[in-house]
Order: sequence, then C-alpha cells, then structure tokens
Amino acid sequence: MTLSWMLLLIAPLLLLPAILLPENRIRTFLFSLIVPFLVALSFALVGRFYPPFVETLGSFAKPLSQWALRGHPELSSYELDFLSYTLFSALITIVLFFLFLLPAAFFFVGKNPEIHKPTRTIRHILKSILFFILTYGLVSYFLIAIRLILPIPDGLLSFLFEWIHPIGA
Amino acid sequence: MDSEKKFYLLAELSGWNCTPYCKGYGETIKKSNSYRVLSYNIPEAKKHLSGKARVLCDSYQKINLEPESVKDCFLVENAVNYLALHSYPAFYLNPLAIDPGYQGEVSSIGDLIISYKGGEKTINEIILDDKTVPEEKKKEVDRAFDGYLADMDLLAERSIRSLTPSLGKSKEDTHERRIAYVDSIFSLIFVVFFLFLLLNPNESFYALLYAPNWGKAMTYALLIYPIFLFLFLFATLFYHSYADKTLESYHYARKFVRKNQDVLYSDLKNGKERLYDYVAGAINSRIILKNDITDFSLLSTSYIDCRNVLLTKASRNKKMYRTLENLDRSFFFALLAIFLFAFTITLLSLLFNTVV
Repeated sequence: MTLSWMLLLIAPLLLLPAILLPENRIRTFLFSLIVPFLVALSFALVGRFYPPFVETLGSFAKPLSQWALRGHPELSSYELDFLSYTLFSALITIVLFFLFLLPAAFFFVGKNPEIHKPTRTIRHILKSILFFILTYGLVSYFLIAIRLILPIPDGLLSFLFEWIHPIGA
Repeated sequence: MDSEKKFYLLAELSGWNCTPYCKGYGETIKKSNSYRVLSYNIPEAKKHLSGKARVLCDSYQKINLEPESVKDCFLVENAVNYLALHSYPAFYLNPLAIDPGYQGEVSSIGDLIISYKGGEKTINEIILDDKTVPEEKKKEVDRAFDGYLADMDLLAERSIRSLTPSLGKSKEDTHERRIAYVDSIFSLIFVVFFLFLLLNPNESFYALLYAPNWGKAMTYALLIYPIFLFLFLFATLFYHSYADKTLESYHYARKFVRKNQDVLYSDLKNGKERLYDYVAGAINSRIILKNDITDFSLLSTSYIDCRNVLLTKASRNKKMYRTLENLDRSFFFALLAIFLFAFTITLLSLLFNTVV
C-alpha cells in the first residue's frame, strides 16, 4: 500500500455521497465545509509563503502532536514544526466542520425537491462537484502534508505530492 | 333484483326465514355487469390519493359477497351498482390532490362530476347551463371545491402525522435515525483508530507492514483492519447516501413541517382559491375547460410532497434499500469485531512494549 493508492481508494468513498446525496443534504455539507476549507487553505498558504508563522504556531501546537512526532528523529526542527502546524490546522478544520454541521443539520430546511427540477439539476451537479473538491481536497491535502510521518511510501503520484507540497521530499 | 327475490324480501321482512333463498347470490353479483365494471375500475382508483378514491377502494374491499339474508342481497346489489357508477375517475379525482404526472381519461377539470342541485353534473355542463344564474353556479362549484380542499387538508394532515414526532414517530423512522447515529459515531471511532495506527511512531508496527510475520496477531490487525474499514465506509456511505436520496421528500418535509405547518395549510387554501377563480372566470365567460386537469395540483408542487411522504414506507421496503441496509449492518458488525481485536492487540503491544 502506498499513499498514492490510499488517495485513489479514498476518491470513490467521497464520490459516492457526492453523486448520491440529494441537493438539500449537499447544501448542508457545503455550508459546513466552506469555512473549514477556507481556514485550511489560509493555513496552507501561510505555511507555504510565511515560514516564521509555521515555526511559531508549530512550536505552540507541538504538545498536541508530540505523540505522533516523537518517533521521527530524522526530521529537522522546521519539518517537525511544519508537521505540528499541519496537524493543528487539521484539528481546527475538523472541529470547525462539526461546529458548523450541527446547527446546519438541525436548522437548515432546504428547498422542496419536487419543484424547479430542471434548473436545480444543473445546480445539483455543480454542488456535487464542489462537495467532492472540498472533501477530497481537504483529506488529500492533509495526508500529503503529513506524508513524512506516514509509514507508507509515496508511490506513483509522488511527483504530484512534490508539486503540491515540496517539503521534505 | 328479480321479482322472485323481491317476494322473498317481503317475506323475510314479515318474519319468514328466507336464508336458503340467498345462497349463491354472491356469484350472481360477481357475474353482474356492475361488479365487472367496478372490478375493472378499482386498480386505477387505487393509484389516486383523493378521499373519494380511497372511500371507493375501501368500500370495494368491504363488499360482502356472501349475504346471509335477502335484505343483505338487496343492500349488496345496491352498493355494487352505486360504486360501479361512481368508480370512474371523473367522480373521484380531486384536482388539488391529483398526481402532477397524471395522463388518464379525464383531461380537464371541466370533465369532473360534482353534486349540483341535488343531482350530478360535469363542471363543463354547469358552465354551459343556461337555466341557472352564474352566482348560483359559482356557489355550487365553491361548495364542491371546499370538499376538494377538505380532502387535501386531510391528506396533508396524514403526511404531517407521519412526520411530526409529537404525533407519533414511526418505528422505521426511529430505526433509521438510530442506525445513522450509530454509524456516524462508530465511523469516527474507526477512522480515528486507523489514523492512530498509521501515525503511531512504533518501529515494530511499521516493520510488520513491510515484512508481515503471520505468527504475530498484530500483523492481522494491521492488514485486515484497513481492508474492512474501507469496505465498511464504502457500504455505509452507499447506504446512507442512497437512503437520503430515496427519502429526500420525507426528510425535507419533516424539517419544513417542524416550523411551517400554518404556511402549508394556507398554501392549500390559496390553491383552492386559485382553482375557484379559474372556474368562476370560465362560468362568467361561458368558456368550457380543456386540458387543465393537473394545473392546480398541490400534491407535489406545494411546500411538501404529500404523495412521497405517504409512500415513504414503500420506499423503505425497496429491494435495493434493504440490500444496502443489510450490507451496511454486516460490515459494521464485522468491522466492530475486527476493531475490538485490533484495539486489544494494540493496547497489549503498547502496554508491554512488545508486538503481540
């Protein structure tokens, strides 16, 4: 098993709900995903272009991820900070997702699925694509970003991982 | 009923025991034209949710074809004749509760038959009636449409009753929700444990991944657990997504009704008013109605889809639904067993600092 295969196997898992879920449910998930996705994206961009922030936040969050990082003496200090930073941002993303999901699932009513069917079909397709991009994008990004501490090799998509996240390659 | 039977009826009412004379009368009724017409029309009536269609089907079910007295024979025959006459769609269709995709023999609201001045007439006949003033015609039509509205209100009430917890949540609904909660919580636990296995920096664990040692229980845990986790996630996502898709109208309606019951009923009332205005306009201008039978349907285009809500139970009994549910349950219990095994092995390995 390689990371590439793992990501390829995760794709159909997330494609299933993207294709099958009704529009109202997709909207609920999109509502819950947008903010966590933007937060994760901000973390990723800041991490990419502003290393001092990674070092500061990574050091701050290290106690949280210590259990996963302690067995990797081969990693440099910056790499450890970065991994700690990534795990922390993953945790924030998951917490934010659930924080938004609970009220959305309870209060969001949606639209009558039986009306305006033709126009809503197109919107449904677009929302399904967005749902897949957001969910698969987040899962893939975090797995690629922490691949240094995963016990499996990168595999056939390593060039892509290198492009997405060059650290520690 | 022939004159002989009329004689026996009279005799029975006078106190004579005429039971032997009504034996086999059920077969005579079955062979009658009225019964044949009724039996032919019932399958079509079953497709409709209007109150009159339901009454017709219920009455058909209750016909007693083994009368025990001559009086019963008389009553059954009259009931069959009456039902046969009213078993045509024009009698029982409700333009507010009609299936929006209906393409049957009645193509216009004008073809519907309503009570009118003690008799029965089609709306188009009422429109063209020269002997009555328009105001009186409108009054009769309005009274008939009030009946349609009451029928639709009843349909909505039945839908709401199946949706609102305070009015009694169905067993299937509770069961489905329980499965959803259990699956969500355990999926999270299973995935977190998988991530723990993946991220736990234990060289001995990693070594087993690359060089499996089949004498160690941990090898099985590390290799089998991810496979079953994938299969379970696939099954559970498939099942819950499919269930959501199948019961989409039901879930939407349940959320909608939680806050908007009044809006629903006022929408039905507005629908009836629109129908009345439409027909009143036709009465004023004496234009007969054509091809508009589904134009005022409130069954699906209203705030909730009453038809789909009422058919939820049938959707849950679909073969695909049941298969996916069973698949989800099977993988859940299989993974739970493997999880408990893997969790114990991992715990022991970590506690004793050696691979079990």
